[in-house]
Amino acid sequence: MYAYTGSSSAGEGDKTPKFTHVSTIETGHSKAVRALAWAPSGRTLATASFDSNIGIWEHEHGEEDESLGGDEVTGEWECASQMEGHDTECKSVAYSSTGTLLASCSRDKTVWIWEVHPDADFECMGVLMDHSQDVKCVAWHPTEEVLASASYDDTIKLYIDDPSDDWFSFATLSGHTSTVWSLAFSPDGRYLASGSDDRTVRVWKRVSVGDHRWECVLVLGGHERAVYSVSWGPGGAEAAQVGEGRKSLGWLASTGSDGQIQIWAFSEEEGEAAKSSVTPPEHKLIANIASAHGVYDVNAVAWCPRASHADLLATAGDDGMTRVWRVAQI
Amino acid sequence: MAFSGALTLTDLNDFITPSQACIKPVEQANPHKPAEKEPGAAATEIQVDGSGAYYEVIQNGTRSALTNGSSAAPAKKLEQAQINLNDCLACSGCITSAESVLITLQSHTEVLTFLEENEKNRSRVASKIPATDITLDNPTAAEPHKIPVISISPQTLASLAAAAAASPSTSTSTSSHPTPLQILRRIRAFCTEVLGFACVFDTTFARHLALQEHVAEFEERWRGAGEGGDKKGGELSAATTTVVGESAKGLPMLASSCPGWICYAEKAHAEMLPFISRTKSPQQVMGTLVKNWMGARWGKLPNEIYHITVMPCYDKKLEASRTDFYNDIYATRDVDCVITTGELELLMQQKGWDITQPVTGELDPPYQPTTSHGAFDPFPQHPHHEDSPSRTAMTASKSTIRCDADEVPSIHFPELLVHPGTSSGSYLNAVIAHLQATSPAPLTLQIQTIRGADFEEFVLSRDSSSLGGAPEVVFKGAKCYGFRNLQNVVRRVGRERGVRTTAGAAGKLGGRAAGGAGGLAARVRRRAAAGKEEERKERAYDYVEVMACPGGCVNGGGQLKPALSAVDTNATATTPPAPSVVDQEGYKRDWEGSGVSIMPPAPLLGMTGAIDVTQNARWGSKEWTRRVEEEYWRTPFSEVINRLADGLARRIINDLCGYGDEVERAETRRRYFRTEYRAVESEVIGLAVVW
Repeated sequence: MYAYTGSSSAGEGDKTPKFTHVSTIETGHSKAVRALAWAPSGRTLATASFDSNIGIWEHEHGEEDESLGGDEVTGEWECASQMEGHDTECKSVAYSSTGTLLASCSRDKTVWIWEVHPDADFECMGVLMDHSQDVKCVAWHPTEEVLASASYDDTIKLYIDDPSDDWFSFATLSGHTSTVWSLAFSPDGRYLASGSDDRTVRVWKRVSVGDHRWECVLVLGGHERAVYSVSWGPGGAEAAQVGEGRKSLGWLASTGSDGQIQIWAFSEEEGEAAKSSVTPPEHKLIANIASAHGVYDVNAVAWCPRASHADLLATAGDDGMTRVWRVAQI
Repeated sequence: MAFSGALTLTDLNDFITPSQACIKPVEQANPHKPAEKEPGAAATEIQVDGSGAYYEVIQNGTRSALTNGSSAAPAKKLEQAQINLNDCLACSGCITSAESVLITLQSHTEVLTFLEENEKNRSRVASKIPATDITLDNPTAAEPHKIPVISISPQTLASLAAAAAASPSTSTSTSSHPTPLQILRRIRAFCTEVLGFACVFDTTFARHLALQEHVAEFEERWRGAGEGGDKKGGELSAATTTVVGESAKGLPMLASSCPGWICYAEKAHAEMLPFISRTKSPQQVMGTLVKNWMGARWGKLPNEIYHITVMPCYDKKLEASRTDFYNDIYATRDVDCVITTGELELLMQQKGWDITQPVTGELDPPYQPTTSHGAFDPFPQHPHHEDSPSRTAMTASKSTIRCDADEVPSIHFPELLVHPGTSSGSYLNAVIAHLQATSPAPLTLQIQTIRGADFEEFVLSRDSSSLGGAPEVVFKGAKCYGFRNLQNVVRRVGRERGVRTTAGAAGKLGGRAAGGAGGLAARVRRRAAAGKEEERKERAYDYVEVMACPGGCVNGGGQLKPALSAVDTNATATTPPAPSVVDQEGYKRDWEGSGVSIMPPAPLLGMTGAIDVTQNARWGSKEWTRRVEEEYWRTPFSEVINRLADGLARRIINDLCGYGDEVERAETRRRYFRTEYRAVESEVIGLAVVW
């Protein structure tokens, strides 16, 4: 429990990706590392630990790296910075789309926003104390500086920066009847999915253009136990095939305590983006894998961020395994 | 033992409530011996009566005891487990519940209870009736009659003045709204006439002493840090991290008057403690003044005075309860009870006192009794306004009232001293003014906003253009308010002084992991060391005025909230009278002035209801803070009065510290005006479960 083993993937093989273990980071965190996040640059990694600290890891560029070129990652991962601030277990950490902001949350009920400065320096931009309970997850909007957080108080809160002032919570999304464990924005940023202990996934939509109002438009059932993780990716090549006058919104994967992985395909009418009505998006369950990790709970799910591998999905289970899945058309 | 692999802890929630983390009641020993001779020989059970009291009864037999109240019954009333303030202070298991404990231990009802008891004691003492009613149930009955003294912070007065200005009964009257000085005199009238206090002070004179001590401490640290750099023509610039002297405290010096900051630093950033000023806060200096200096003048022991302060901040209750401010010999605190501005208002409401109504004499200039030598006279022989028509007139403009006339002579301090700088105590300003006054070469002050009004840097530089050089920076200070800015200052100071991650949150990590070369802290330190040379180019802070509240003390947690008026919804429904309208918070907004044209409020600025309301609320409290700030500065600054205060301060320090041996004198002064801080280690790990 005192060290974290990070396996970076180097799956360049076309159809059958190969994974090799390239590096292990001995973090020195004194308790479990609960979450990690890549900076958009892919060169920096943030770890959120139950020891209440956040570690920032940078890859040391050895001279030989340059000669190797390509994506090969060798050499040491160095701790570039450490952020203290949370009182208790840090639960989640996330980089904003531009990589200039980092958010973290904790059992101490707070959400912190840090600005990334040169030389691995960080400046605290805000300490948001809006939640009344343990904050489980933070997620950034894919294009804008909008932050979402999910909590044991059953709510989701959305935050923006007031340019003349501080960050503040501009909306509270209520509807889940139990802990909200996980959040994922749709790739176009107009939807937000949340996975909850109430066994549902809710889809929230930004309604009316240029506006920060979000409404719940969809409640997805199907999980028999708590939903621990959701991930929303653009979907594989076939995702675009949604028919005339329609636009794909990508694929949403959800998983949880019941060991199931569900994958939903979303689409909406062309032009809906301009209207932003409360109409729910069209949704279709395209895959459902039961007992993905045998009898074990599945704790996390994530789509591959590379465009060429948008149909790849990784899950992490209580069996200590990470599994990689491909969505194949039947 | 073959548990299913699927059996996991998923149905637990991982939020530990404060009560679960708090171990104090468990530790408390039960002072009562069991009634039985042989422990465990008889089974007992606990019953609860109608009033919620717990009784231990012997199971075999006397159960009826509880119901019929027979005196023969061995049913024993059990003591409730209690967590007192010191338990909470000694434990970092929870933060939130400590506050609720505080509120009950030091509240306006507590003040009323004390005053009532005290009145009983007075009559008992007066009539020389032996204290026959002393029982264990009522230990206070054994207490002597105490002289009640109340000290009010200037931020409290500003808050009340702002509220009075916003109140309808003031706005309808033709006179302009009351100044903080008027408010002080109204409170004085209330506290003396209605509540029977002997003295009503404001804490600005105590702050005057605190600022002097603060500056003296800065000077000590500055000299120590500057490697004796002051020798050559004020060569103040030699700022290094070298620490000279036994104290090994060094720079930057961080302000210490904010108890929220102190608590936080002690719990989370022990590495900052050496930098925090040892000087007592104005509240505690006031405590020393009242209990020690005034007590001695009155011939009263510290426990024969009951000292209440009114503060803008709940955490001041914590401060007053620190063991450092507890007098073991007399079993008393320098400040017995702290109430907030809001609680004082509640007290006035309960007693039906209207703060918006003037009292006679409230417009008199600050009372300055002087001795024949022209110094401030704290014991005027001929009280001002002796022949005034009403009692109110007498009480209003004087610093004290001889309510307990038979017992104590009146004592005066200068009223509402103004210290230019910030509304949180002007600590940074006092340091800057001192440096400017003592520097042989003129120093120019430059103020740079880092992030809003809550984070500003103050740079003193010496113009060396005559020597062909750029201005040389000799001092860099900052004013840093609010938790967010505080974080950045802590990080920055830690980095500059190389003390980062030695304790605090990372201290939890330190013990186990940092020892190993691969430790996170160790790695950061290595890296920080590498970047140090570069950072040295920029001057490190010499002083930081740290306050935990955004906006500082005028926006303290104990201050009055923006008044909500009844117009609330009507304001938007009716046509607003230009140029100012009453907004949803119930106070006037100058729409035109802030560049907003007055339009029907509906789709204003394209904002939705949700965001609009949020912003109004936020904007509202900011606007409110600005007004309190404005009220705070309505008291005019007077050089003359401040010089008089200097004289009185010298006199008091001499009185307290004696005229003897310098070392002894310094030691006594330290005892009276300085304090210490201790890191609070978290012993409560919570559940050791990691999931």
